[in-house]
Amino acid sequence: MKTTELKTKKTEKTNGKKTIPDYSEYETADQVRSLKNGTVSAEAQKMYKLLMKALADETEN
Amino acid sequence: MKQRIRIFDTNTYSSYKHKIKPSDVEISALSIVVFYELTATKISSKKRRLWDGYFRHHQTNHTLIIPAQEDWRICSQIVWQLHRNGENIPKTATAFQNDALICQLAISWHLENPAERPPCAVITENLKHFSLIADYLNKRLKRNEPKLIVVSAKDYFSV
Repeated sequence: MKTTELKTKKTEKTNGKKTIPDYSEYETADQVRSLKNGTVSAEAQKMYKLLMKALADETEN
Repeated sequence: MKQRIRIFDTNTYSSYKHKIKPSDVEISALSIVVFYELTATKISSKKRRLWDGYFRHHQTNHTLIIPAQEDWRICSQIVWQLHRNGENIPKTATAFQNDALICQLAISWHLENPAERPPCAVITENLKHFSLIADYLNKRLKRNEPKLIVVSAKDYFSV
């Protein structure tokens, strides 16, 4: 009885693993540092400008 | 190679503002904790509007990261555990507690919807504290879940 239960659990685990995404295709810490993204969307450009203005030094009146 | 989503720590925004590029913004998410630290302070009305606009953009793009109930609990447990284990961390510093929340949010944002949200990398000047927190949080993850990566802002922007 115990053997059967164990076998069932093992099968479920194996089946579950098939649906798990392969995260090895994502950047590692070294790759995060080195990878550059070439193309930028219009939305990102807009957000970038907004961010730079928000971060800019200013003298308050 | 799929890109991780960058989460910039509060100090990274101010210290590396001249090095941030549009491509960095494109692949970044905004942690509500970072937004809070940047804006819940003495800034002008103009800046307030700009930051609110930046917030709205991330909200619309679904890249604004906010904590769920469980995030607060996990975070509190991790910081408690760090103290209990005698790690060299500030006793009551809010900044450290916020750092822990930034890390936890970076993990849970992806895990909530792995199909649509890539794993994250936190870019920070405070590598010592963030790495320590990430080590503890990563130990909680299942073997098949991607670990949180912490990258030094100096290294990231020097490339």
